[in-house]
Amino acid sequence: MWQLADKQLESRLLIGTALYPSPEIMMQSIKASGSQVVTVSLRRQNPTESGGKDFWKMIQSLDLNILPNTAGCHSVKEAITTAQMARELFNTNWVKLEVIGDDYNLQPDPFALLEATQELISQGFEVFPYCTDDLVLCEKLVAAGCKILMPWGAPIGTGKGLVNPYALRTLRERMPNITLIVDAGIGAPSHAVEALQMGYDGVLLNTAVAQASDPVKMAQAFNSAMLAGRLAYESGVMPERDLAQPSTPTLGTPFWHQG
Amino acid sequence: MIEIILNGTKQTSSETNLSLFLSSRENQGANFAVALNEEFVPKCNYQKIELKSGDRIELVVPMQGG
Repeated sequence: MWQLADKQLESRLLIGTALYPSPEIMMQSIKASGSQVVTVSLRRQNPTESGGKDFWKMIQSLDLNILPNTAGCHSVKEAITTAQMARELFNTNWVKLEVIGDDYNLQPDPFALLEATQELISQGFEVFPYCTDDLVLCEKLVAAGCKILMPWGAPIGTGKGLVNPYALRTLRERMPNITLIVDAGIGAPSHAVEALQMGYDGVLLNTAVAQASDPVKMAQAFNSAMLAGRLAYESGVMPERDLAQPSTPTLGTPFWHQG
Repeated sequence: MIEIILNGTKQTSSETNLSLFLSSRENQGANFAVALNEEFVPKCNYQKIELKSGDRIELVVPMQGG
């Protein structure tokens, strides 16, 4: 069990609800992933559609924790208003705060993110900031009141994994009491293992499962990866060495003779 | 009649009360949230708000997200 904000959870995987081949596959994948937190969004109502009702009913039937995002917001004002609408719509004070600063790689705008975070925390939100792996930004987010940080592994949807393990490891070492979740850029279960192995508390992903050839099976793979990564962290990975060292005892080796 | 910009599209309405304006649309039963001129409007305030021409309403619903 681990603590995420005010919740005790078993799974360390947070999973998105977008980009699946069908709603049925989305449901099966979420279940197979073992995740207890799903991310959702909000969009303008299209009068010709059922207004997101069917999607929301399906998600509610899972009885999981809901983490609304502010995806697509480019300004402090947009992000704050979107978070406020999400709080009413989804009946939660959790918000995955995204304020995009660059459309090319969907990189968070650190300055706007910090300002929006300060305001939303003052309004009682539990802010999960989607941020870069910059140590100073992360320190300022913590000073603003964040108990959780979600640095990117790589730009959203790229599947590149942890492109700057040094920066992520530094964050873990410098912030032992903050809940750290790698958000975005995860492409394969091995990336999730790597994040958990270095002591990250969780991983948030969407595309890696939704766009896999077999999303349900990939969700199972990530479920196992989370367990493997955490167990590896808790059990302590051996130190890396440059020189070979035999694992089989050399004492009593047959045919041994002094060279 | 007033001219409202709803989700980015201009439309005319005979309803000037926000609550009545929303009811006149086919949203009944839908789970939605509203912002007026980029400010969030809690559900409990719908009845108190009178719309004027040029007001911009964002009407949002749950959607898939990552």
